[in-house]
Amino acid sequence: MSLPLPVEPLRCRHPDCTLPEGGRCARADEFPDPLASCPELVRNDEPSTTPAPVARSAAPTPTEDAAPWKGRHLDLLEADQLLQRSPARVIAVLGAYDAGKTCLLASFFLQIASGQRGPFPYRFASSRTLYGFQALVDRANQWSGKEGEDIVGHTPKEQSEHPGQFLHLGVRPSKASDDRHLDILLSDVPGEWFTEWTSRTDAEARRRLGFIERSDGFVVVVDAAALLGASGGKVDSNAGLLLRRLASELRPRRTPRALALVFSKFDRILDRVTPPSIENGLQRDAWGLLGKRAARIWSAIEQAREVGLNVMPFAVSAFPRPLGAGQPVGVMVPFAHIMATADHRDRWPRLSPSVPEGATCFAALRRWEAAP
Amino acid sequence: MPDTSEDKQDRLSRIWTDWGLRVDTPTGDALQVALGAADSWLQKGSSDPEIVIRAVQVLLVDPERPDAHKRNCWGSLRKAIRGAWGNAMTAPDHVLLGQSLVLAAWPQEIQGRWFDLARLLDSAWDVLAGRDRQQNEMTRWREENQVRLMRDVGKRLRVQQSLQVTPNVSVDIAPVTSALVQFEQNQTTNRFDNAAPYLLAVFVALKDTLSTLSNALQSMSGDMSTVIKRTQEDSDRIRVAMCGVEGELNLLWWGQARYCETLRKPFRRIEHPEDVVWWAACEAADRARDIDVEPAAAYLVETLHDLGQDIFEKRPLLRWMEELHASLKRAAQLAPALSDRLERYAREDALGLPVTWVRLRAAQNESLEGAVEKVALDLNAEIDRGQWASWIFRERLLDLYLVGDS
Repeated sequence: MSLPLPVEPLRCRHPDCTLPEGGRCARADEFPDPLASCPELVRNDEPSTTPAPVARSAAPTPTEDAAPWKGRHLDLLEADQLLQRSPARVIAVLGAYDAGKTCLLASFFLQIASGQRGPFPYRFASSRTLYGFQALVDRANQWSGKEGEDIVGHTPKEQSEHPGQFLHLGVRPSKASDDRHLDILLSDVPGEWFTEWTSRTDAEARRRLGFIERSDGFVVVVDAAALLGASGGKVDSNAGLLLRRLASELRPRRTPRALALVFSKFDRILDRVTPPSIENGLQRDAWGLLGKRAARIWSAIEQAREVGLNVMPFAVSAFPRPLGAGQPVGVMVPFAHIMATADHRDRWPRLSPSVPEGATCFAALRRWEAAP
Repeated sequence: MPDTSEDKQDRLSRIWTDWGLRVDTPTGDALQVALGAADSWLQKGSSDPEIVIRAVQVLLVDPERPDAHKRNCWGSLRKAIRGAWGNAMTAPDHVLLGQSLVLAAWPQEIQGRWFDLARLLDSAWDVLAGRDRQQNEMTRWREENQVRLMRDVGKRLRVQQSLQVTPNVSVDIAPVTSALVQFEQNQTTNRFDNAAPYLLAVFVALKDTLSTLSNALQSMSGDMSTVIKRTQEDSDRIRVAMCGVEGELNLLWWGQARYCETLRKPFRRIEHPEDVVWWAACEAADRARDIDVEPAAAYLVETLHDLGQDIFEKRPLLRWMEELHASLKRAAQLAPALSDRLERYAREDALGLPVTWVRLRAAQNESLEGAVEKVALDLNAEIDRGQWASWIFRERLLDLYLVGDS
């Protein structure tokens, strides 16, 4: 006698729901008995006729799902749903394969989560992708410090319809009088996508990076060590191309956007280049040998500034040493630069609609102008 | 131009393309139902002022402020949407999406006078900061409201061209005469033999003539009723215009006299300058019920300037609120009471209504503790005395409109 096939487990489409794992229904206030009425829950009461997969390498394990949050990277749909709550600041982290984008994100998370926010005027408040961050940090924690060994895993090129693209951070301004909760979405996509995006303009590449136009700030990561290496010309050319492509893609906006040009892995070239002060950051000469090798990058910077991007280069070492042996350098500054523009708090201008022609003297009386 | 659901969907698409993340703007069933529900909710605003006030408050809510989704104004909209379809909104805290729905569904043509109330909450926008992502669409909405109101004021004074009524009652009686002549001839020649057909011909001619006459009279009566209706409309317009002119004259004379009727002394003799602002704004509002708000508010500020007040002196909003609280305590029984309606609205949610909230607290002899949460605006934002006077003026006017209606 064969055993009955197992009942299909509960599944919920809501990103915040943990009911299937024994947690709480995300819509519990709407549906007191979610098992009976919540429309997000799906369960086939009929026994499954398809055998369960033996191994699910790409899918999360049940242990991973047990956390009371989404955990992993958010895909475009989930990120859009998050935006229905508040106008999240979207920061696009761009750069070629192995430029150090994921390392920068992991290091940024470690710094803000441990309260070492430096010049970044926000403190950690929440995250819907804690597991995603945790996975990055765990890997970085195992790094022995040997050159050539990956600090974090390379971001995989997922082929699914909705690949995870965003890490989420909730932050609160450090100013006591400002009690807002800001959502920040950090893009974490493979470098190959940007290469495809810059080299050809097919619909698929555009679709995958459709969030770029909506982004409130950009971090363009360039491997400083590679720039000074044997293939430095190619690195310079590719980074310049990426910057130019970005500048040409963006439509003009009323409010400016910031771009932080991050020279990553700077600890490896400190013996040859001394990073300039922030004030002199835009002067190519101030970067010495690095400036000389980055002719195309600097030319592209000019183009980016012409389209209204507030560009500033930064020297960053996300993991100069293994985690227990040293601190990252300059990781928070690029993000502070971006947030200064993405979260600037200017007062709204007063309205000044035109008074209709032929209006009486009384009707024409207005006080539109602001106080001097 | 009449509103169509397609226009509203287009507006929602435009807004969400800018605010959202997906390049292919969501137009799923749930969102369409949500838009429809927001639209129905707003339509009720033509007869219910609370809907209009709550809708403006929904727009004023900063979605990044803590507990933004717990405010009463948001609760009203969400309840309406959930009533239409529980799944229409995916989570109770989707305030940003709710704001886009209100903007998209806001009626483009005047639908009842209560929608004019939106302009009376306009002061709150003076202290908004940041929210860059939303600024374009919300500014567009505010400008459209202002322009529409100016256009509406222009319309009120326009008297329609009178309808010309030309009596057109020409009835041809020749067929009757002819039938009678034939009847008489038949009578003369044939006496009463074979008279019936001739008599019948007379009756038929008479019936046709009477029918023509009846139609002509009916047509004239239709024209007359149109004329009467239009005359009534014109008369209403003239009455409204005259009320406006009378209101403008009263306000202008009040500004010239600079005499506080409530305290029975000239404004210049009032000891505390903040009391002058309160009483002047109050009395100006009393005279501005039938006139355009913006010029009246500007005139109030100019009058304060003439009274020697520094209209450009800037202070944080909270400081102005404290000054008003003190003025109201000094005014004691003389201060006008809040209308029951506005009091209820402010108790449930005082977002963007600092003046009303201070009046409520002063009436109950309570302090301003909790102002940050209740008013939910940036109370550290500095505004000048002129802006604050206009703010008091607008909220007092809001109160008067609601009293007048109840």
